[in-house]
Amino acid sequence: MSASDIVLDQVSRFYGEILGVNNVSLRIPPGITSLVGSNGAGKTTLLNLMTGLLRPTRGRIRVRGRVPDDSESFSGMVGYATQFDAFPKGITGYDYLYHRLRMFGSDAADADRQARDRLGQAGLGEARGKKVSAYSKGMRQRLHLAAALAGDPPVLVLDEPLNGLDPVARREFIGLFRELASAGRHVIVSSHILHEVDLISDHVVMMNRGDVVAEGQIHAMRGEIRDQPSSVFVVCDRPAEVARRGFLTAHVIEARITEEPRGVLIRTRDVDGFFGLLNRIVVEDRLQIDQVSLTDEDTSAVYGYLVGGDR
Amino acid sequence: MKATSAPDALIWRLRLRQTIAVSRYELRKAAAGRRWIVPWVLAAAPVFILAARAVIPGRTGPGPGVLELIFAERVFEGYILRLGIFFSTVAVFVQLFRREVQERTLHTYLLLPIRRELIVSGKYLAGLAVVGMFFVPATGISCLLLLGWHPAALASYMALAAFATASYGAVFLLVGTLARNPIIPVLLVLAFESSSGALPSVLQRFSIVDSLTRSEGFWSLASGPGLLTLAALAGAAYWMRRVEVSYATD
Repeated sequence: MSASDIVLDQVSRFYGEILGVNNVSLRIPPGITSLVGSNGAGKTTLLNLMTGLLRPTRGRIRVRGRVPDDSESFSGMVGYATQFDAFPKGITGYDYLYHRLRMFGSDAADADRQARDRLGQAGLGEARGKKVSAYSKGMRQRLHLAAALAGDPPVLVLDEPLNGLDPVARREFIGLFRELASAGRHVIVSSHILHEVDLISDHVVMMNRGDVVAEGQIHAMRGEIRDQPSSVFVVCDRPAEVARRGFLTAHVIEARITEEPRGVLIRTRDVDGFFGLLNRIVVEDRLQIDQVSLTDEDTSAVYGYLVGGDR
Repeated sequence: MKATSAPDALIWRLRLRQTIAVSRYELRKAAAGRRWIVPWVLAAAPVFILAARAVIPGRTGPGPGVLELIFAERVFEGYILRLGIFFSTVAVFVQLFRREVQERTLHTYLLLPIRRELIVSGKYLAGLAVVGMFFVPATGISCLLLLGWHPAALASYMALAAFATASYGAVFLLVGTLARNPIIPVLLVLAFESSSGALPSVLQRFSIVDSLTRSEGFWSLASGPGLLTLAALAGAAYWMRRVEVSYATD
């Protein structure tokens, strides 16, 4: 337990009679945390609560020891790139950032320097004088990120930050998130692109219909789901032999041989038992193995097991 | 007397700087969005008409004292207060927060490390600047064109124009925060102001036009429209403290 965590204590939020999030208790340490869930799962509501844009109907929120009610001290600590993709009409990227920095309290020279630096860092250096209305979706995402980083907040909250970005920009953004997290900041990312969540997250929070259905590291979460068989893919020279030996045990329930690459996909209720068997086959039968991988130990698979696979 | 501590002084200096920054940003947005056009057109109209009257020859002027009455009742009260400033403040102030909600940009303010009352103050000052920078000079020039050089009258009419902008501005700023459809409350204010002469004296005190044209001195203005202005700004500040972003629910 640490004062530098983000803590939600039995937080609920209703929109009239509609449930936004329900009795959520979380403790989020610094690092990259991904919020995962389908549309309507409550991800944006939770982010809005964490950043003070919404107040909880019930429960308490503390972000690094501060409460969202005090906007003057709280908002300087939290940078939020929202999904609301709207900017004032006729404003340039530079104007937007420069004036935000002035409203933070920077003087004119400092705001000008920081605005140019931030826009350059976000890859908008050359486009800074263009009206935001002429920006592409990806450029507006970059501007949101630059604005969220204004003031160097220790907590960065990003709602679907990779939407609309090309692969190069995605890689750049992910690199930046890692850099910020390694400096001890909180980087909270909501995403429905689950394979990217696997790439970037230290910690995952899975949501469904306003509830947190699981949280933690993906590997640990998968280990907790004991009622679902694990899938192991073995690329080897004699897949049929692996399948045959597997069926002699009680825990292997399915084996499917593949041609390209040559291997076997095993479904087992005891993954550790299967790895023991595989070791014995290698030693006793001199099996040649090229690759062994758990195919359902990613965010997508775990989310599918927990909420029924409808992402 | 308690001396202000250094940190307090720094905080208030920061808050002042933030308020000015909000105003500057609003003025930049007003310029970019051409929000100055309505007040500009409404303020320029009497100036052009009175300038044309001054340069077009062949018109017999009215007798002594009549021009003062024409300016006070028709130009200043009839046009500048009841039409020009009223509808300019409706156009500018109602939209100060309403537009942010409609364009889904209010959250950009709510995420700033700034007291929310200062956002209201900064926006209000920007609205005053947009309407006042046209109507205060336009009132002075109109007065000059019709009555000639009378410094006391000039200063008095310009001050009243500024006061009317401040009062109507605060009322319509509040209307823009509270009403989903501002037309009905704006019509109610218009009806109240138009029928103020027939109202009981206790209500007449809160009529902006009535208070400004009766000229019963500073305290009369302060206790009527002045109080109304402060109450409207306090209401807008309260709304701003309570407001949440609810234009997307995921």
